[in-house]
Amino acid sequence: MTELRFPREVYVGEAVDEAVKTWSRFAEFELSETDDHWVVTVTPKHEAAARQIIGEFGNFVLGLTIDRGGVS
Amino acid sequence: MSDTRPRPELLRHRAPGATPGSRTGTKALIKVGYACNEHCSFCHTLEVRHIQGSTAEVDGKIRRAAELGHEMVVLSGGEPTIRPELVHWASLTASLGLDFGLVTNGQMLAYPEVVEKLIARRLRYVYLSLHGGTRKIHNLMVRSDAFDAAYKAVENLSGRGLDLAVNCVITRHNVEHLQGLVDALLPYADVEVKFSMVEPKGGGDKLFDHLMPRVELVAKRVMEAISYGDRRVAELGQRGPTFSHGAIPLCLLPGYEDRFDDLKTHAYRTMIEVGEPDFFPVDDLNKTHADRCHGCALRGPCPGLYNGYHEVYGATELYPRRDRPRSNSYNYKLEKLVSLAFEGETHDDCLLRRGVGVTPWDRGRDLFVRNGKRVARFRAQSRDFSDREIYAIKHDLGQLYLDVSRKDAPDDFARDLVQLARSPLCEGCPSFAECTGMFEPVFEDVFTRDDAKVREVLASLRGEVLDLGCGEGPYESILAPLAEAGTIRYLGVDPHAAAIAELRQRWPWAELRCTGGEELELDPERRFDHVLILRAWNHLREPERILDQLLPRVRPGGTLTIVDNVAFGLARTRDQTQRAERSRAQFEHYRNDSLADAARVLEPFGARFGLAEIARSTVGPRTSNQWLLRVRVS
Amino acid sequence: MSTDNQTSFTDIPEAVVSVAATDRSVSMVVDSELYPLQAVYGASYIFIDRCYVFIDRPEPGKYRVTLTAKESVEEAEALRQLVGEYANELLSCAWRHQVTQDNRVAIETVTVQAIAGAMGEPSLDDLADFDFTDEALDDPLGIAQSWEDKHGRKSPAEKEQAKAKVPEGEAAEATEAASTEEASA
Repeated sequence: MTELRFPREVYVGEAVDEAVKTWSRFAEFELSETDDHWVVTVTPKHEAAARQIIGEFGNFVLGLTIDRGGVS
Repeated sequence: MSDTRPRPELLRHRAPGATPGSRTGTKALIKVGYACNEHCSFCHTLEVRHIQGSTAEVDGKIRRAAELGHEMVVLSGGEPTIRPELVHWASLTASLGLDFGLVTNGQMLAYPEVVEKLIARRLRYVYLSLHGGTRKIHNLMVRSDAFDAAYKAVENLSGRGLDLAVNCVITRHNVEHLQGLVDALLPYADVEVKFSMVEPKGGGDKLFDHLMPRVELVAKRVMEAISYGDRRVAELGQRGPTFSHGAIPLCLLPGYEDRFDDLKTHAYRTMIEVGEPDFFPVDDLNKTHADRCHGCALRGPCPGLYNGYHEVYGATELYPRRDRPRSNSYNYKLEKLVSLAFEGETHDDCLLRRGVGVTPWDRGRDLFVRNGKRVARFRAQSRDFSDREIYAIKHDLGQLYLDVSRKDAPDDFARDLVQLARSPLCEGCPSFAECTGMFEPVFEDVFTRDDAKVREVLASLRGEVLDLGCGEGPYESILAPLAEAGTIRYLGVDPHAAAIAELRQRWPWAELRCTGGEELELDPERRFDHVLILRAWNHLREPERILDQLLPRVRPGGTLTIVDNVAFGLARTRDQTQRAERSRAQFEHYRNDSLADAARVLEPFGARFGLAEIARSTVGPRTSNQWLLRVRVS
Repeated sequence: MSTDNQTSFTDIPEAVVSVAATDRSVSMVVDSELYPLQAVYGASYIFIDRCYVFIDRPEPGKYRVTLTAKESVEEAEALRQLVGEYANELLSCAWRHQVTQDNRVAIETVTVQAIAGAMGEPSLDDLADFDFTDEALDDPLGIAQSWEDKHGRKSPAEKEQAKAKVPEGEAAEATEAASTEEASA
């Protein structure tokens, strides 16, 4: 289980939601939020690929954020 | 005490962020009209000088260039700087986030304030014509009193951080005066001086006999000018000017082959003429590679000859280079994820027809790949292959693969590569023939499937077998039982010492020789029932000579089997492409012959040895890149 | 610039505040005044293929970019290269961002003009208010004039009209004279 804290000033919330949907085949996700962060708890379904799944998920959120023009 | 005051040009405003000579930004070339304040004898647009594009038309094209993702708009003509809208177009281009460039005779840039205004609006690139180092030569070429203004423009533009090229078109009138231009431009270290063969088009066609020098002479004088320029630059301890050449066949420029310069080296992607509805990719269709250029290792970057020149003089001046290896693959690098949510089912929904447009994309070099909802665009920048070769590999032979490995160069094709084929989306599309196409992965192992035919041939062998280019012995599972049962007697030949040493350990039943095909020496009486050249044909420097030596040694009723691969394109991520480009892998192929090419080599031997074809498999879309040709010797 | 561990990153631009490295990842703290978020996005996007990229806000006015190699890397040298490449991209993206900001006035002007254009032809009053001085070019030497205008030559259409008006024999002579002139230039 890994907790990722995406700053709201950098990452778009919809990007986090969409990435979670896409990656739900590969990991369990729990979403919460603080004043400053979107908080995602990731539990990869395949322990051997955990590092890759978490890393690629983070990239995916960033990619979707940028595709949406970023946080304005 | 030395004078430490800055030189005047250093006080001028420098284009921010511009790197001299950097050519990474992709350019769109817009012809704004064909009127000009000069009247060059070789003018390309002689017949249409009265046609001018409207302001609104050019405005629309600048916006379209931005939409297509270009990074620079370059205006050309005619002469774009005589248009009163010049600064407006530079402003519009900058406002869209693009850099601005000009192809110009430079006269208007003799006004320093014009240069200042344009640099403030992101002028970053100038391709300026200067055809001689003196008034007499340049003015004769352009039939105007233009030298002083053009030369002043070079002074105004140099030292400003621009990508600045000076192009000299070579005709009979200036071919003996190129070193004069070098002398005139020596003070400007950031200039690229380019020497270009005159094109037989417009004035160059109409006055062909009067203007056209022989290309061999042009090449000779260009090499002398470049050599002289390099020497003077070194003597002066400067970093430039640099020197390049264009539209001259590379075989005529030994030692200077890498100085070629053309629209692609300047990162031009698309262009548009006055009145055209949309951009088209830049191409080399005005030039040709003659039949004798087949198999030349320089063919990829070589411009060939202008069609009009070839029609008049032929290709007798050329001497193709077949003595050096060339690449057998090229990369398509990922440029952009075009869509993450594409759900189209027919050509009516296609992104190319409904979104980005059909005509701006190069049919060979641009590649759109759909995988589910995602559509990505890749681009092949390789100069190891010509545009025509890349087109044929992509569309005629269908040899495109997605590299799913993490290797610099895939070596296990069945595992590392997934074939790409034209998407079902393209079926029945009215734009099929002029479109670069949508491609999709084919999840079938075409390599293993097609290699089964080779395995079938090997399993049928009986008697004495010569395997030329046996490599690391990939067919051990078939050959070993046959040899151990005494069904075949096997001689394997390969130039790679490590491969032969390793086989000697594994194959005690085989006779093995470590030598190249051309150097193979055999007992005069030695005969074979079967000769195999399996994926080694394109490694042979002189296949004709080898056939001439081997075919007399094949017993009547025996066979010759040739198998090899055609070249292919690999779609790769930016990271894979970067790693591959950094790797130091050596080229091993002397050609990328297809079955038809090999058949042409065999043809002269047909009657003498009674060759009869008994099997063939060709390459096409949805096959692997491996072909097979088998003949019986009677 | 300071380093938080033993690895030296002396070739990194000074505006990158600090660099910290572990065996597989490297973090850079950058000043958001110098490198706006759009520039950080731009540079990060380019590295998505090669690294796992994470951006956070360690404190106001700072971004921290963590690049983690997807595969194992050859220790410090590869990480140094990664940081250098990222810093270059960041610089380039920041510069592009700055250029866009600098051109905002021009962008707004052109946008206004485009909208005005879409609303129809400007009235005479509007035209009187336009200031063309910035975009007009002085040409005291008369360079911006077509060769044909300068030398009083006719366009092909005018030539055709002229040809239609003169008797056949004279037209042939005129054509021949023109060809001779071009060939001898």
